[in-house]
Amino acid sequence: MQVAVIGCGMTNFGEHYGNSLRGLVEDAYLNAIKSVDKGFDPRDIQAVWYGTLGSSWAGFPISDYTGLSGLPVSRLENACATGSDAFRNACFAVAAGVYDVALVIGAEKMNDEPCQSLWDYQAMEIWNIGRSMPAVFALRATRHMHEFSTTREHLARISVKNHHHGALNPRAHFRFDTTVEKVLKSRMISYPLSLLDCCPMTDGAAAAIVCRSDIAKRYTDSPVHMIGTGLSADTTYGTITDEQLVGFPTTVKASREAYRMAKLEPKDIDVVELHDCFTITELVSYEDLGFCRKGEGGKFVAEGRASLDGEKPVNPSGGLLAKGHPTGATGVAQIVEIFEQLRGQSGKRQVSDASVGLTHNLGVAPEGTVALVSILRRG
Amino acid sequence: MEAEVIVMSTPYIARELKDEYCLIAQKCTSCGVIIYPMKHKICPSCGQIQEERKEFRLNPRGKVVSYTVQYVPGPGAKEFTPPMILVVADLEGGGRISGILTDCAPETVKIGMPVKLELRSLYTVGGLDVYSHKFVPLGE
Repeated sequence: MQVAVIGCGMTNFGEHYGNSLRGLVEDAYLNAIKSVDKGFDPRDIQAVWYGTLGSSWAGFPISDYTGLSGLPVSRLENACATGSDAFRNACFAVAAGVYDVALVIGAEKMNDEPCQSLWDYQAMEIWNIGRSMPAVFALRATRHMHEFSTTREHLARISVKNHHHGALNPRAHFRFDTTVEKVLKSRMISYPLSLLDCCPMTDGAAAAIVCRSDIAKRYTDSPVHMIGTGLSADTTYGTITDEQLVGFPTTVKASREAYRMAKLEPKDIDVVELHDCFTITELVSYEDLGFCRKGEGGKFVAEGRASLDGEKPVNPSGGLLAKGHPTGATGVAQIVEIFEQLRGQSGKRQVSDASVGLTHNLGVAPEGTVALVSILRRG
Repeated sequence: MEAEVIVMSTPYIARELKDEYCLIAQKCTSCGVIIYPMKHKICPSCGQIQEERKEFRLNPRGKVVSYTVQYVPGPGAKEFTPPMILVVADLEGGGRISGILTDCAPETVKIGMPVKLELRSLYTVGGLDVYSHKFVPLGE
């Protein structure tokens, strides 16, 4: 069974002090319903997958927020890859023939009650002593700079590019352009990563409606098909390997699985939404997703190849750096962006003639990493 | 005045600190990877089931493989004040260990720099003074 995306919606990303988690979910869900070209009756939804990292502790609040009481709701958590995994599991259920139509919701309220306690706890243990999230990625940046002559300017160019894209996106958290000089001079957070190398703390929600590809035309004449998915998880606990210090082997494995399923290669991808929680994450992901060789990520961005008008436009939405990173919503919002890009609905940040898109969602904790890649094609 | 938030579990301290004080790690009987500090029945690297825990005493001397300097207060204990240097180091004889590098000016840390693990005070939490290892510069 093939799976299609027929509708997508999201909230603006930002600091929603005036809106609750319920309000965000309602807005994303209603926007997704409204986006279905031929109209959509919510009673067609047969099951719901809900991704949140820490804003809810179970799935059933979604029954309340959506009015879909009585339907199966599964809550999914897989670090910062949570939203993509909720999407993947909804697609699996439809592909398996269990449901015809399913709803995916990703949501996170980062600015009400930061879920800090687990992170604090882990930072007290000797194997992870004192590390902030920026430090976890900075340790990789320092090593990549040492091995491959990558520079802070290379990293800054990624920030400049994604902030430029974000300035074109009305739903982005940050809507301003910046310069290499401003990035380099911004406050140092965890060397070599400065403030503008880091994504913000963002509130937001996103939703997608998926169905059997053979009934998609009931809902829209331009569905987007999910043609490949890959997931990989690994450990960095016992020892961190040389490869894990300069990239994410889980990204390599997940993307190869997705490429194989889609019968495509990296060169076939027209538009990419990848996990740029920090600039270094985007730089190594060019390499790990197979867009360039290991060590050449700096050159890849310096040559403009990842820009909106480049050969491989990366993060036209502004990415996590500018659009924002409400953890559980991020993976679903990546699907929203690719859905709209493939349907030519992205306005000033539209990638011209994109027919195949890729999303890459990464979860990193001190004890391991998880990467999830999805490939979508215009119907 | 902010109240102290107790996030450390005393059973963890009781469980792990003996090995941490003595720098006792575990060596996989199949692939030889060195795991520190917790005990494993299955090697996280190669998946081999460990019939017995093969102890491995870490050499405290090593070299920095990567580092960062945290300029904002990190998570965890109030004692983790910026700037704080965090390193990953390869120990002589085996073991890749992460930790705090102390007694070192942040601008002098570099990859390849010789370092040594020393028993130091880490933090006080819930009335317990917790000690474990930190790296210090060894000098060329």
